[in-house]
Parts: sequence; structure tokens; C-alpha cells
Amino acid sequence: MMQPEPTTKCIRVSSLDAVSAVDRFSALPDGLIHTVLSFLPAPEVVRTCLLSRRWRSLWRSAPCINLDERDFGISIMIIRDGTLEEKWARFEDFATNLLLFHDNTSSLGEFRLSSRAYNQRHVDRWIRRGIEYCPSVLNIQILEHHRFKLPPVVGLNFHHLKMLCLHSVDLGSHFAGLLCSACPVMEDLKLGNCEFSGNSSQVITSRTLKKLELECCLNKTGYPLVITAPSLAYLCLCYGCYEAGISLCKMDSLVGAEIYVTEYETLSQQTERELLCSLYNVTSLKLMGFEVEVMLNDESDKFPVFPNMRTLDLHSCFLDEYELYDKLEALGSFLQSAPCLEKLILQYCMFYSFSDSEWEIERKSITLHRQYGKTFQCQKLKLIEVIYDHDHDHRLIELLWSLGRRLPEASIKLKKIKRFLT
Amino acid sequence: MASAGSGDEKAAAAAMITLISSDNEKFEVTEATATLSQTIRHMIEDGCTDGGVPLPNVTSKILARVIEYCKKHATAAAGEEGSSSSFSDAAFLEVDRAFLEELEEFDDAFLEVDRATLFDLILAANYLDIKGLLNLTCQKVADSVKGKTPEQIREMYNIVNDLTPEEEAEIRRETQWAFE
Repeated sequence: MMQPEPTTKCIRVSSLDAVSAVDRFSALPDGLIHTVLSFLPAPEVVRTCLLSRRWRSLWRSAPCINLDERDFGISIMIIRDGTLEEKWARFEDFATNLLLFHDNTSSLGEFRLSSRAYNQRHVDRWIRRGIEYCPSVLNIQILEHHRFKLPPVVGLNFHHLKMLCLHSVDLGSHFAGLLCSACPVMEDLKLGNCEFSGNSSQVITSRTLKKLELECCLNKTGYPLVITAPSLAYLCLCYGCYEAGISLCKMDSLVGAEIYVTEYETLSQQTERELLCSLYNVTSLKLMGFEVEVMLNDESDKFPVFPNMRTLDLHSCFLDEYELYDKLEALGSFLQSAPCLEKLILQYCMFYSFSDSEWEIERKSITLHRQYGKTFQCQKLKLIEVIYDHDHDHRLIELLWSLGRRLPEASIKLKKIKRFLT
Repeated sequence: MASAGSGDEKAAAAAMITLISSDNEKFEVTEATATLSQTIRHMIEDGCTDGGVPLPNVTSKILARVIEYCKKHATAAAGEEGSSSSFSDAAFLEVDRAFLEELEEFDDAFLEVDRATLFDLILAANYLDIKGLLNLTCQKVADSVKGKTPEQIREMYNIVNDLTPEEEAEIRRETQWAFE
């Protein structure tokens, strides 16, 4: 074993500078140097081996491996200039060597791959190798819209896996089953632009899962996506397309949910209602793109009571072709099933507002109807926050007036926030 | 039941904790501020904070800065209303964009320190287990070496090259694939 030599002979600075000449960086414990290295591109992490003996092998034991094609100059731009092959070759050489020489005696903290599937065999190999390191966090981002078919991973070890993030991946038919059987400690699952495929039922069952995010995923198998996760605390369902619907089971632990839908695409209105019903335990709920008919709590098909709901954040809801009167009735009827609601946020709800729309004739006067609309009982509701972009046509005033009449116990806070920030 | 719970939490939020630096200076902070540190959070949970929490690894100069950070970020975690503290996981609550920007500006200004202080902050954040502060300070160091050659990094941080020319040549051969 080599011992670091005494370094006094090398210090050539004057005594005045002696204080600042201390090498604080190398004096950090390995774990903290690794934290610093985790913020650097992989090639630079390896290159620190030339700094001194202290640094020679630090990169090998770094708990985070981050392979990113962008560190090798690969981007959308270069596809056309013909250098992709050459750049990919450098990336491939680097990735293969890094995975070969990285110290794999201890299990890895994080394995992250961000790449296109220029060469399927290479990417397959890296993913398999990455999984063999038994990472706690596995993050595979395929940087193209075309979905990448995962290599066969059945039989590999996911015993340490706590967090799994996949982007642009075709999940195949084994994926859901794998989650149930091979990931005993998984808490966090994030799928973006992924497709559930195969011709069997799509079931995600996990006793340990706490956080689930599905962003723009597809399920065209004809079978509904069934999620059974009794420990799930947070759910985010963001757009995508689920033809056969989603059914949530055992959502007893769920405290927060965000559901974003696009009209006639993500889910049918019936499934949207069913989904809302299975969120009975949430304290905080954010809905985007929900319409009057989904939210209307009529006698025939009632919502359950949401006994814990404190915050309801509605974004771009009630934008369909109903009168403001009906929209407020639907909102009010929904609020009746949330007896403990304290805060209601209405962001860009009830009507479209475009600051530059010239196509509508501006109303010169406004009539506020006193007579209609019942008052809703929502005793704990203290604050209604209305976020708007542009008060077009005085409709905002009309909205505030009606809200104030129907929910007289709550104070209303108005905020103007530009809708599209760039 | 729910109201009783939030009442308890309000009482807890007002509770003060005394932190004692290595040079024996005392700092009074709210529990919400102090519990950004997982180390202190565990001490509070174990009920061993009466008479103050001694922090023998942190000087008063650094502790003052750490508290400044925690105060700012504790208000962020509590949400702008302060009333939303009943949520155990506030991460999914929509926080004002303006407030996030303000927080970012605060972080940038906070990092305007000399290198010695930066390393002291890293060690303090690690000892006190404040993840946000640890990542912030480590990222700052990483940013400062990004794109630099080994020679430039050595010079910047006074790293003494104790490798013999033979060793250096050997390392270059071993890791040639990372230098192309």
C-alpha cells in the first residue's frame, strides 16, 4: 500500500499565505468528496484521479454513476452534421470502461443513464450492468420520443431499489409483475412517456410504494391499469392516455394527489369521477382540466365525503360550455363533500382569458345577479385564492361576486400571475 | 381531532431551542428552524434538548450562517400561509413562484463566501445533517471545478501533486478512455 508522503517539501508559498494554502478540499472525508463529485459530469469525475494520490481511486468508489450522452457533445443538433457515429463511439468507450473499472464491492447509490438508443446493444448492456450494481436509485432517461424496449431484466436483483425513474421506455409485459415480486423496498416510482404493453392485465401492486408519478404514459392494452398500494402517500397522474381507465385500490395512506387531464383523451369522464372517489383520504388535492360534469355532485351518483381535505387546488377547471351559474353550482356541490376544507385555490378556472384576445366584444356594463345561487356550507373554508392572468370582459368580477355570495365565510385573495412564463 | 392536532403543532412551532456553538455562544431558534437539521430533530424527538444543544463541531461564526440559512428555508417549508404546517409532506404544495425565486436569490447571495467558510459550511451541514445546505455548498464547489484541468483544480484548492511522474503516466494509461 502506498502511503501519502509528507507534503511539506512541496509547499512553496510564503508564510503569509499559509492559512489559505491549506488543502481543505482533499481533507474532506470521502463521503463529502463524493457528494461534490455527484454534481460533476462523469468524465470529469474520473479525471480527478490525476490530482494527487488522495484522489487516485476516489472516482471508483463514487456512489453515483451518471452516464449522459450530452457530456460527449451528443445532442439533437448533431444528428444532421454526421458526427454522431464518432461521438457515440467515444461515449460507448467511456461508458463501457467506467462500468468495467468502477468499484462494485458495495452497492451503488444511484445509477443514471441519459441517452438515446443509437445502438440498442450498447444501451442494453449498460442498463444490465447498472442494475447489477444493485443501486438504490435507478434512473433511465431515453432521450428520444420513440420508446425503448427494456432488455430482459427478469432474474436480476432489485433488492436495494428504492427509487425507479424511467423515461420513454416500453415497459413490456413483465414490468408490472416485476415491481410486485422483485422490488421489496421500492418507495418511489416515476414513469414518463412510458407505455404499458403486452396482452395481460396491467397491475402495479406494492406494499412499500409511497410516491407514484405517471407522466404522459400510455396504456392501450385494453386492460385497465390497476394500482394497489396501501402505503402510497402521494400520487401524481399527469396527462397521458388510459383507454381502459385506471383503478386505484387501498388508497388509505394517500395524503396528496395531483391529477391533470386533457379533454377526451386521458380518461373518460366516468373514470375521472371514479378516480376522484378513490382519493377519499387526501388532505391536499390538485386537479387540472376537470369539467363541470365530472365535479357535479348530484343526487344520483354521489361523491364520498373527503373528511381530511384541507387544500383544494383547481387549475384550468370548469372551462367547458356551461354558464357561470352552473359551474359554481358544480364547484359548490363538490365542496359540500369536503367539510374540513380550509383553502381553495382557483387558478385560471371558469373562463378562458387571453390578454390579447380581440375576438370578443368587450362588455361595457356588467349585471350582477343577486337572486340566484344557493349558499354552500363550508364552515372551515377560510381562504379562496383566485389566480388569474387577465380580467377579460369583467368576468372575473362576476366570478368574485358570485363566490362571495355563495361562500360568505371565506375571504378571497386575488392574485394576478402571468400564465405562461418563459 | 384535527383541530387538536394543529393546536399541538402551533404550540410546538413556538417552542424555542438553544444551540450552543463550540466557542460557547448561545443561539435561540424556533423549533421549526432547528429541525431542518435532522441531527437536532432526532435530539428533540429523544427529548434531550433541555439546557441547550451543544454543537462542539461548529463555531459561532459558522453556526450564525447556518441558522440564517435554516430560518429562510424553514419558512419556505412551512408554506407562505404558515397555516399549512399541518401537512407532514409539504413538497407537493404549490409554492409561489416569486417566493421560489426569492429563495434562489437568497441561496446565491448566501454562497458568496470565501473558500474556507464554504468548507466550514459543508462540514457543518454534514454534521447537522441539513441536506439542502449540504447539496447547495457541495454544488458550489463542483461548479468551481467544472471544466477545469487537473492543474487548474490543484492551483485553485492548493492540492499538492504528490504523484511521481511514473505514477502519473501509469494513471493516464489506466484511464486514457476518460481523457479523449
